[in-house]
Amino acid sequence: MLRLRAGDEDAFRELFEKHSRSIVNFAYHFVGSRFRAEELAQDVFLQLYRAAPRYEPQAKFTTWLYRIATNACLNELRRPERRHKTRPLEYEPEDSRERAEIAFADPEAERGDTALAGRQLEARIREVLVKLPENQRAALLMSRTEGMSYREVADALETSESAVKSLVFRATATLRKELAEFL
Amino acid sequence: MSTSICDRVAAELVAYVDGEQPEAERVRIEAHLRTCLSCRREADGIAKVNALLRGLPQVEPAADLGERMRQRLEVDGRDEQPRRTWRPALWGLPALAAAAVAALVLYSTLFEAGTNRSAGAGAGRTTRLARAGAPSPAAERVVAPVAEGPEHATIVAGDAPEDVPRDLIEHPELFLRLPVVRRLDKLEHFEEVRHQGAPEKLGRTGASAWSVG
Repeated sequence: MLRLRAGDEDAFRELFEKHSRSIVNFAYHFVGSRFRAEELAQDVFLQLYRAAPRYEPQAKFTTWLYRIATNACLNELRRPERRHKTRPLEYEPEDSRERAEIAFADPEAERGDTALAGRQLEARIREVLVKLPENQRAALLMSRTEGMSYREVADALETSESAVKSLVFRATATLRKELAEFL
Repeated sequence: MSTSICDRVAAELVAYVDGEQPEAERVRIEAHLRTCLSCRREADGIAKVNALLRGLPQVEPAADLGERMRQRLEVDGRDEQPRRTWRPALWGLPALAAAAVAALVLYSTLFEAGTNRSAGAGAGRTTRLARAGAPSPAAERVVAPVAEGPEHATIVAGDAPEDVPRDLIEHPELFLRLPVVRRLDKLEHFEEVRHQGAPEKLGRTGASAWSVG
């Protein structure tokens, strides 16, 4: 990031190549749409690019990046057309390729019933995820799928560690309840 | 059997499973788990949920995502200053003077264009903004044609008028209060101006819409 701030355009390409996949997945888990996830990832890196001249390394880079990503996802969910949707936010695989990709990697995936169970489980997880309150979802995803500590999540969400602990606890309790049939 | 101790431990189990508890708390919870089957099952359930989340397959971004990003940077990359922000404090007096002159020119033109159209004079007129002096053709720049039914007026920017009031030159900040000045920045965005019905807001009569031709 410091290289980008100094005007090294290759540094941006390297940052994008290194982190874009994570951001796309984070956004995908967050908003439930792969198409929107890729658009949001572009928004995030565009903001990063624009902010580069003013960047000061006060926090860990990934924490800063996920703060931008979380805000982008929250803004996406709060867009008026989203708010006025009568249907609640739902996870929607958008094409057959995606449906194929989301099947759990399983050594016995060739067996139809196993693959089907894996897909059903994943679909159920994603359904529950997108219905979690936004701040719980953000905290849980950063903690679980991105492996961030409570401190890092707190920095990204600009809140306290104790608040993150509470958010993760409540989100996990909901998942346990909603996924009881699979546990 | 669930006890008050179990209730207290349950509230800490997620953080415990996440390895986020301080050492003393971790030891206390582990001591309880050794004797409480119910809380052990709870901890196991939390660990399974965590494993499911961590095991969610990653989607592969589209192959052209990088190319789309590159194209978007070319268009929007350094456009970080909101163009529609009016920040006179940063402009300084010379810029204010220029803005005031431009406002006067614009206002005169709009007034003249509106008057001409309402008078029903012939179609396809061209209204020249710079009435004083004789601007060379090279100095002219078409800003935007204004079409309305069969009539068509073209706003042309040329040299600034020479008969600018002295007050305007000496105290351009006074003109910042004029609605037309406050809307100057919008002139870069004709689509928005058109949708917002700017001509009416600018005080013109007889014009219902702007179009960019």
